[in-house]
Amino acid sequence: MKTIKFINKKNSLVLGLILLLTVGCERELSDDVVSATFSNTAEIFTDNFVGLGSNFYFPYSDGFAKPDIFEVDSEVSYVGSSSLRIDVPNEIGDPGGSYAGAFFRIDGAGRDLTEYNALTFWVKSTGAPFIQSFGFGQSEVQDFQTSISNFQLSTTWTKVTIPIPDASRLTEEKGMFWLVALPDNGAGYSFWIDELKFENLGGLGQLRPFISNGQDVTGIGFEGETLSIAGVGVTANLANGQDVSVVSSPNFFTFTSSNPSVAATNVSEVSLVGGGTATITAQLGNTDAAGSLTVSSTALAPTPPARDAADVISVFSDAYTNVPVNHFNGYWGGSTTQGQDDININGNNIIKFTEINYVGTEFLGANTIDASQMTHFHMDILIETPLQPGDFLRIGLQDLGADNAFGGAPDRFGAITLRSNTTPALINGGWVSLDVPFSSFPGLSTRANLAQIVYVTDGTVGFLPGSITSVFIDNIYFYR
Amino acid sequence: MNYKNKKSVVSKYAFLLALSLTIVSCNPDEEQTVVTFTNLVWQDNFSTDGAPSANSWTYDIGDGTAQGIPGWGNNELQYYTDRPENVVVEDGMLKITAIQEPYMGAGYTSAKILTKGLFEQTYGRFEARIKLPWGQGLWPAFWMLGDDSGGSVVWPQIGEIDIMENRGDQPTVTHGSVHGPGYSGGSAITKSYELTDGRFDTEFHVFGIEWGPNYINYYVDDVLYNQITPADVTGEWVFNDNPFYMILNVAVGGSFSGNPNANTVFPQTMYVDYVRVYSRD
Repeated sequence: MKTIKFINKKNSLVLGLILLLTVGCERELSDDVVSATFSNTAEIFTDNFVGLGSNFYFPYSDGFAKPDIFEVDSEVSYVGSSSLRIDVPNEIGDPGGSYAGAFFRIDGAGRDLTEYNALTFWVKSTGAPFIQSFGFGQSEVQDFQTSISNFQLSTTWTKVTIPIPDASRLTEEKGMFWLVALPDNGAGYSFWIDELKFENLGGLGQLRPFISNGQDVTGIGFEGETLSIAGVGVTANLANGQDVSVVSSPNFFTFTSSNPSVAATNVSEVSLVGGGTATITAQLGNTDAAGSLTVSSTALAPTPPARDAADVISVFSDAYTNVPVNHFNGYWGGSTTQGQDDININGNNIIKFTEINYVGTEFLGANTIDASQMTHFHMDILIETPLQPGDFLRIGLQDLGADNAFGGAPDRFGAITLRSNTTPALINGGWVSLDVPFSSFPGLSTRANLAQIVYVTDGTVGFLPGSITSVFIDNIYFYR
Repeated sequence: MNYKNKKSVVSKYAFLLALSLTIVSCNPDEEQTVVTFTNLVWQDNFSTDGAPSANSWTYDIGDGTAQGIPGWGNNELQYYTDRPENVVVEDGMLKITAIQEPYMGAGYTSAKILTKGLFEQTYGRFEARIKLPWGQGLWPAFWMLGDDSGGSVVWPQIGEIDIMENRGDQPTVTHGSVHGPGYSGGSAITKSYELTDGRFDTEFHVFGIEWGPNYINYYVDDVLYNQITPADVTGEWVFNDNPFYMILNVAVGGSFSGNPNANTVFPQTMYVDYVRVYSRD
């Protein structure tokens, strides 16, 4: 016991030096000092912050998170004299921001959390909002970020338990606590946190790790891509018999590939190194994780040929200089489509739309494109979703006419529709390169003020025929 | 029973006692004597791989229909077998495994073994070291029934002593009960014991009773948590003359535990490290 105490104090930043000198006289301790190098202090907040140093609070710098969201509240406590109050702003009207999001990290050396199995705290609120995330493992890095999601607060004190997937990995963790709390139907609220600390709960057990949310998922990746495996975490059983699930960093896991010449694994990293198919599974410690990811590793889209700048107007490519684009996904009303130009494989940018029913890419106002001197439209498309009978992808071009505005002078719209029996044909899992003359877009009689590219699959609309929900797109340009 | 075995058991037990002494020495006011019977008369350490020893254990097979009590009188869902998938000795342990599978008209299989007709005793200390299965709908038990005198006496008159019963959705709680005439089924005399910092499904715990004339003491590990005497029961005390046999089983579903749900993980195994019986003298 004495040795452990000594090591604690030695690494406590606040008291470090003084105690080091004081206990330095206790000669019998020196033999054991080697093994534990970092503080194993459990407490983060009791009646105030514990051992975090001075510069420990980092509100998110996304421009929306309100910077000043917390107060040490001496009016309210679960145990002791005070608690940590978080004030979530209203969604609209607060000049500080529209939500509460921040991490608390140690200003100094990290802690050794290997002897704990959960982050716990007590919480109560002014209402019953759902909190998007409570977690640990977030600082300047997120190597072992872990969180619970969608936790509903109440007006009585409730204990929150966030299981640690594998504490043996947390030998030097600085990220003590983080949270994302959005307004509740637009309205702000407050909640109080007390006794925020790491614990070794004997009542916590039956850890069941998972990847891909425990499902056997298939998908497409690109040669050269470092895969990010989604839906990774553990479900654990609490003393009261209730399950609690956390999502965590894949860094807790060891991944295995069924085909290393397609997908190579290095502990937690999975890289696509060749063409073909490989199934990725994972272990947490010695426990197999539920779920898998079967990935078809595919070549990138063909590199467009070199062209004179006068012969091409590029909307999205890495081969030509692109014109300004307002957005690749306008998130129009009624659209379920997620994602846009999010993928970058070693400098090769790719658009990925998921959950697509329809989506529009826009270049408006001064950005409209005069393609009157061009003759053809080019686009590379890869359909990730398995094709069903009736599936289609419609690609439309919208021209605004001479007034460069919607309405007024005639707006023109033309579209092509691709199916599995058209030329070119839609296929699943491979790139299709479109080189379409403008004459194939019926109705598009002008093209001096092109403003939109519209994609329609009806993929997420149950009563409509399309079932394509996931599409990669690359190399969008007009040429002659 | 050879002396060497007995000795090693006793010395192990002495260690346990020493441990408990250390713990209670911190709270002298709460000092209690957990057990007093130390004369080991019967044990199974499950050290020989294969089926449980036929000298010690017999089986109940089926879903209770053949015995006239479909669902074993509790709307249980399992079909008991003696297949190694459901009951086996290996790794120095008895493993009773509940499996979700269609079998003989049931949706689950499991096992139930008994010392009926092989070892029965009145009074004594009966204990087992067990790690429980878990999950909604699992109902593991270590319990005893009184001899039925060739079928001439029926339950609950024969008496039932439940040393350990657990609901799989309560991983920290065990129940100790007696059933007898006037206090059976839902009216049994029962008390639960809850671990404050541990679980019954992730580590082994010792479940036992010490039973003498007009009392049954219930303990878990080094904690004596209940004594039941004739004053506690609402009917005839049927535990002073009849010999009792032991039963180990894992039931699935039924009136005690409720049925499994989508979150219940199968298969589920009850691990029994040993069963030991000490006489009263």
